[in-house]
Amino acid sequence: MRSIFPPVKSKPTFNLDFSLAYVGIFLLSFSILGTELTKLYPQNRSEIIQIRIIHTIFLIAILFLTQLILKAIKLKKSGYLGLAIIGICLSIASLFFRVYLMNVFGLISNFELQSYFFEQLPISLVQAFFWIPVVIILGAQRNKIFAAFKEYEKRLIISARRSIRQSNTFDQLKKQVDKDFRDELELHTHQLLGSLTYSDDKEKSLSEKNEIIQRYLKYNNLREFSSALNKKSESLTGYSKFNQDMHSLSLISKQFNILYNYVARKSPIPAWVYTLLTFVLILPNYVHFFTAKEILLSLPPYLVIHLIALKINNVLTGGGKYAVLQANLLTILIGFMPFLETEFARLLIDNSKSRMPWEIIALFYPLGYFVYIRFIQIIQPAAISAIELDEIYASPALTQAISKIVKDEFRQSMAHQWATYIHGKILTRLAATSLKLEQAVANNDPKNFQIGLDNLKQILENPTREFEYNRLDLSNEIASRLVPWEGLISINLKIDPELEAIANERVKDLGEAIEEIISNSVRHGGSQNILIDITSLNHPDIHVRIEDDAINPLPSAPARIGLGTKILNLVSDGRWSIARGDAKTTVNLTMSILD
Amino acid sequence: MVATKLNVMLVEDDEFTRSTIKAALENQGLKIVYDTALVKDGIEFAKKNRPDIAVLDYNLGRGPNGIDLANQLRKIQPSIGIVLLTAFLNPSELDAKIALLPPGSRYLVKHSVSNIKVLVNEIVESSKFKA
Repeated sequence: MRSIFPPVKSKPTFNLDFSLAYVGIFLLSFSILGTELTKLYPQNRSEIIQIRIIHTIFLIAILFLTQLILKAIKLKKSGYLGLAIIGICLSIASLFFRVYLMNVFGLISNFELQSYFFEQLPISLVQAFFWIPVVIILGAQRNKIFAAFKEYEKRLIISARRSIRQSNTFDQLKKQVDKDFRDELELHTHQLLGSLTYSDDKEKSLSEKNEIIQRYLKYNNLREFSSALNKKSESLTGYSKFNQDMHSLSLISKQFNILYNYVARKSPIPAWVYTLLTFVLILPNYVHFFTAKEILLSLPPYLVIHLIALKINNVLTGGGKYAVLQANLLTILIGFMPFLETEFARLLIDNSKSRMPWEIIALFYPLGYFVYIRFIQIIQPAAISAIELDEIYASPALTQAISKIVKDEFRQSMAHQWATYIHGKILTRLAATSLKLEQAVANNDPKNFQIGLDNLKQILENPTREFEYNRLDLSNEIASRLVPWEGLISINLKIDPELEAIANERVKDLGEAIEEIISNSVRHGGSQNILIDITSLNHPDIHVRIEDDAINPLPSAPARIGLGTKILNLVSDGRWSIARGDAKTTVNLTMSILD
Repeated sequence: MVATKLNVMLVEDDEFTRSTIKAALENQGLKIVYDTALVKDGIEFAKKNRPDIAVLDYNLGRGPNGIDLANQLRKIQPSIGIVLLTAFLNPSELDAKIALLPPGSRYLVKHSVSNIKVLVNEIVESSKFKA
């Protein structure tokens, strides 16, 4: 993998991407403004601010114009020389306009025009030959990195989700959650069953017995339990918590650190980059504040900087546990070199004019230098390669965060299933029994009263009996989910024959995902016709394509995460998407059918 | 309208509950012209027989729920009265879903059905809906 700092003899070409150049203009403007306000023209604040604003607008305008011209002549790539020519055009135009503004605002006289121009020329040349080409190269590289990182982020989350779902701890959690719900349901039903014994008194009339039973049927904890489950299953979360994406700056930064450490070892930036970066960052100070003698005195330390940079390179290529830490400390040391150098120079020459504010040279400069170097390091093509080849592992923080999400999704999904079961089976029958008992009392019918009571006791003794799931093969599982929709919508089902006989726990998950998509499609989209196509992918994955004719298609990125989204994330490890086109909404879902 | 003149269909997936409600309503003199556990059968019946009222369970097990069915029945027969039964503690728990019910539909917590007159009253009220 080549570096973005290739050998001098090679002639690489670069995409002309100006996105970072706009950011560069603002940074440059702030930097010049700071120097002019504090050191060069502290008495002319108003003029300096006006000049800076006008000049910044001018720079943005000529940059935009340059982009338009390049677009018109269809120039999308260029070698370094081409970038430098663009740089010359921009920086010289910028310099002429700046000199003009300084003159118009009375900061330099007509006699000073020429000397001011030549004083600023070296800075403009560094901009032309270094900064402008660099920001263009970095801009293009940055886009590639971000695009690759986004894809990588998705793959990382998918693989983290999958490994969590297949882990023993998750298996234990599933059993525990199931046991907890069962235990609580049995606790409430057995309590109610116990309460009903108060009516087991042969002396009591039918009406008295009924009164006692009705009281317990009306006031028991089952309703609160099922409502709590329902509430839990329907609680929504904002999209800020990542599901298919990280959506967390802290996690992204941790992941970037891993990427940085990897790339720094694999493809460390050459030593000359450290030295050159120091020089170009210091150059404006040479121009504005240093005498020729001081500049000459400051040159030998560049040799020291270069030696440290070579050491950094050796440390990183040599590897070792603390290689990156050592390299970071040495980079910070280089960042402090101008400060150390200035302090040393003060002993030899006491020139108050060349003394830069300590907070800049001892704080902002080293910090800025460190950040620059990290940024340059991270945008090496080796980073893209590592990302694309999935060579970067997930940070523990990311794994932990995903683990929490997956577990929460499972708990919510189970809470939904139990809430539906309790409402649909238990509470419904309690209500029906209540009605049956009332009717028996009204008709003075002890036989039917007893039938109702026996039925009630049977439900309460074994409340989870009907919750048990009969394992079906894929073909029958899907059919069992589709048959209830007959008459309401038309469904066209295609299943790869190879998959039809598969029978395992994941088949049930697939059924739930399909049911979720269909119900959403009908309830929110108003679909009438749905096509379901289930095909094999690379083992053990399958692909499910569901197309509908929804009138109100679902958004591809929902504003809130509801239970449906969570079920699909859980089943597919985040590998699903919604697309709208040609009056059709298509949901694509990939899942592992064998764990 | 006199309740006894109404043709009522009942869709409830739980057999015990369905037979109990059916018996109780018939006891009140209502004519239960059809009862079923299946959405498909309910739709077929409505297409052919145009009942006045549909009493529907909200939770019909896997697949469509009572609200999905109610909307379909309204398409088939715009004047049909709808009474939705729910086992939820409080109908407000269904707020978002109830918004999807066809206009003029009534809903009732199942537990209050122990007093069958409440259900009969809802059935009569739902019959006043004009398409």
